[in-house]
Amino acid sequence: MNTPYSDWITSLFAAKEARRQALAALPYEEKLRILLHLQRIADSIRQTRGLPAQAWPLDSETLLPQTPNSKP
Amino acid sequence: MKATLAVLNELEAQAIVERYAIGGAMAAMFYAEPVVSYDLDIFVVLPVGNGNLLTLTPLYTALQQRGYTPQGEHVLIEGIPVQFLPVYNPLLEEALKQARSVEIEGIPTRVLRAEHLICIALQTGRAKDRDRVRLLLKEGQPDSDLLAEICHRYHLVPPKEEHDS
Repeated sequence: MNTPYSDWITSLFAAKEARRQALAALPYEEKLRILLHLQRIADSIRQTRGLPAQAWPLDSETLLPQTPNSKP
Repeated sequence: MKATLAVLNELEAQAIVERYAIGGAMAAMFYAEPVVSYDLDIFVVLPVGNGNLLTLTPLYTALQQRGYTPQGEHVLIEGIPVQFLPVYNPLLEEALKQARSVEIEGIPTRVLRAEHLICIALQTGRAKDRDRVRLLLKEGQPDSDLLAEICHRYHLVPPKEEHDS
């Protein structure tokens, strides 16, 4: 038997859904910056398991290949 | 990524590829929330070579001449691992022909339509493709009539959007 969600859980799911829709509506360049961030988070987890880093070596501001002065 | 796209545009301008468009996760990200991915899938129509053979060799040679070397199934172009996928069936041919012209970081490029991305994922059918279908249905605002029509023509079962509650 399915237990109905409490109001609190329902509003939590609604907020998560709204955030996803807001993320989907971002400009592609902003999504690329989020992707770079996600890649770096995933890399930090991968590296704890001895796996190599795979994040794209792009400057998170300019989205161009990193130079010695680039922002990580 | 604009540096990578500029290289792809140069390859097309020099007829090393006839036409290209972004597919896979990076195309899905155009319509939906970002999901972690590490490669850029590029669908290409290649010029027909001697003996009507389609081969990636001229493309790889042109890239190597520009200093971009293959690493496994990818070519690292300006920091991004790019996988070139020659169109291999009528659905992909259509998807590439009807890809949307867009600008990313001010660079003109093409991205497969959400409806084609869904159909390609349905056709491929791996677990991550099923996830992509769900994501694009929920967030990609596909044209449901067009999606149904493409599914019908390629004998695919049209997907239904799932609801959370």
